[in-house]
Amino acid sequence: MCNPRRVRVTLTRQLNQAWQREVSRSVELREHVTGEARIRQPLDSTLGTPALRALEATLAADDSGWREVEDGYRYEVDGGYVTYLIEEQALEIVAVLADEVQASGEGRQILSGVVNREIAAEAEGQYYDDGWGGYTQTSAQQKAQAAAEQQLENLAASQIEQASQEAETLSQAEIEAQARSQAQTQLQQRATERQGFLAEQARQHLDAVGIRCRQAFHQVLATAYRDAILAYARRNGADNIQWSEQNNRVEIEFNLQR
Amino acid sequence: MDVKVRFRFNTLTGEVELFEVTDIGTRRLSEAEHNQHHDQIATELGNVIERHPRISEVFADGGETNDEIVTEESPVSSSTETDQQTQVE
Repeated sequence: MCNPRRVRVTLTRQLNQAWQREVSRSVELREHVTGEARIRQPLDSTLGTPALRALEATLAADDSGWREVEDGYRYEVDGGYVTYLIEEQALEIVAVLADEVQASGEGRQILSGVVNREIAAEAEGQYYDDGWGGYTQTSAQQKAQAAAEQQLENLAASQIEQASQEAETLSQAEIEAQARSQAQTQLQQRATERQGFLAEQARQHLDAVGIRCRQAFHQVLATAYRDAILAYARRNGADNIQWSEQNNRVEIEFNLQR
Repeated sequence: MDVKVRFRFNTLTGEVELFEVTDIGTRRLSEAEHNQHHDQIATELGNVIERHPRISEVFADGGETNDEIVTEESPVSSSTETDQQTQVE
């Protein structure tokens, strides 16, 4: 046995292979939908001006429990809310039902292409001049050949994989847009259907929500009545002014001389 | 004319249970003067809480007149139209 010798095999191939790849993307969308039913009751035609002014002052007070909103003051109740609309001087009772809808869409494309380029691979084999251990020049040549061929196969596969990956990357946005568009169409349809159903349900809940809203309103109305009447009493020099608030009742007494 | 005003509001129902103006004076006025003062005070008080208070007069035991302002419903009734009434008796 002496030093091993090497045999080197270099193979080249003109790769000309078509590939095909199916790519899909799915998108899931969710949307919060609400159905509402509302009733509006004007107060300017029923409440006296002093009471109406006192009511607005009561609602604006920090401790009223009513939240200032763009068009007035709002009080949330279970299942809805009530808003005192400043400009209209009206009370708006709204029953609200909410739900979430979801929809999914899938985009799918079959991508294809051709890889056409020259690829090369090189491999070595070892042998001994005396053929020690069966490592002959012939066997070395065969092994190097086989290794180079395997490399070529691997290289060809990776080239095709790379080409299809690049195509997928390029098409990804388009496929996702397709999936999103499909999901949005479905979502819009479901949201519209659900909204109609919720609005119908809300109409059925309006009476119950209205009771809760009116109870909340009566609390501030009591304060408004009290303040307006007491202001009248003081302005007119009343004496023995007394008022109390207990057992869900506001009571006022005073004497007036004319 | 001396009057006592009494007011009671139910915060649960939104009902003005009592709004009464009672003549407690000792001054003797003619019936016309008495009625005029009574109506004026009752109307003023009714206008404090109602846009168009309805005034009426009743006679209490003993012959004195009482002015009683009673709102029968909350300004926000459960119907779409409010049909609140203010009554002065």
